[in-house]
Amino acid sequence: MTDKHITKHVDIPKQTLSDDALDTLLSEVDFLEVPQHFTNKVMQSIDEIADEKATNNGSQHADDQVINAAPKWWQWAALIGGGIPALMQVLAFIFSAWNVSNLG
Amino acid sequence: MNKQTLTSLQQGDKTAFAALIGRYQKPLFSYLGKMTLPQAIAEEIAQETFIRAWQARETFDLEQSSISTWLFTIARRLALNELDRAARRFEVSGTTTTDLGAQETVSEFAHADQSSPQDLLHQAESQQALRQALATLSLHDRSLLALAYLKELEFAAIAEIEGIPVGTVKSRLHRIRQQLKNKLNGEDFHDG
Repeated sequence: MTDKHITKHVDIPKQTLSDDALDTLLSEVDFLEVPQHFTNKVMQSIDEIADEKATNNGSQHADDQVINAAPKWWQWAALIGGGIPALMQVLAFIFSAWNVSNLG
Repeated sequence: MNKQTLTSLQQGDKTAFAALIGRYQKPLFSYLGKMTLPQAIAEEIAQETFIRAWQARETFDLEQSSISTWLFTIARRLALNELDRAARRFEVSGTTTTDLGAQETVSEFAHADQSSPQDLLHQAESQQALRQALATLSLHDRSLLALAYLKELEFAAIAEIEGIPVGTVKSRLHRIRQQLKNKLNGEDFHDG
């Protein structure tokens, strides 16, 4: 961009602006300042994102382990122990409903 | 930045990345300033640019592109999205994006030089006028002009960032500069 940047000092008139003055103004003007410790802030954000990702990955890994583990004997016992009475209750309800309709 | 630093950056070297931030933060803020973004939003965009660059560092192809082109491509996309969103918000509220951060200009530059108070005032007025004139340009024109006045970027790099041929960059730049000059010289502009 060297051909575009003419480093002449030109006074900027109030009403008319020359090409050189416009170039100078556009080249030299910086509307914003770099905030203090900007690099540190960015690096801190990057570290935070990395930590967050690691935490999420850790908890996801733990969940996956629980889901993928083979069922234990007591899990089967609990399923059968809870499942049989529940099934009996449903059957009892159906029988009583049928019984009531027959009586009526 | 040399190739070795860039390679170690791609491999996750945070010191190399901090050096990259140090190298490009000033031109990036200069670009975002010429895009007429206020300080706080520019800071967010600059931060997001570097975070995205870090996250995508492994996908960056050293042979295909330069690091500056890559960074400014990210920053441009974020800045255009933000300004586009702001324009839509202000359309609803009846304000213009020209007002975005305009009040910061004089105070920011009043202490920038060792010149006399009169010179400083004149300088601040010129800069405020420039900022207002920039804000009247279309977002894509503003971006092109802002990139063109960065010492870090050649025409070819600007063309790559903007996704247009080099010839188009030159012709559009000529037209935008003319448009900007007319606005700055126009009486209606100064009266406004």
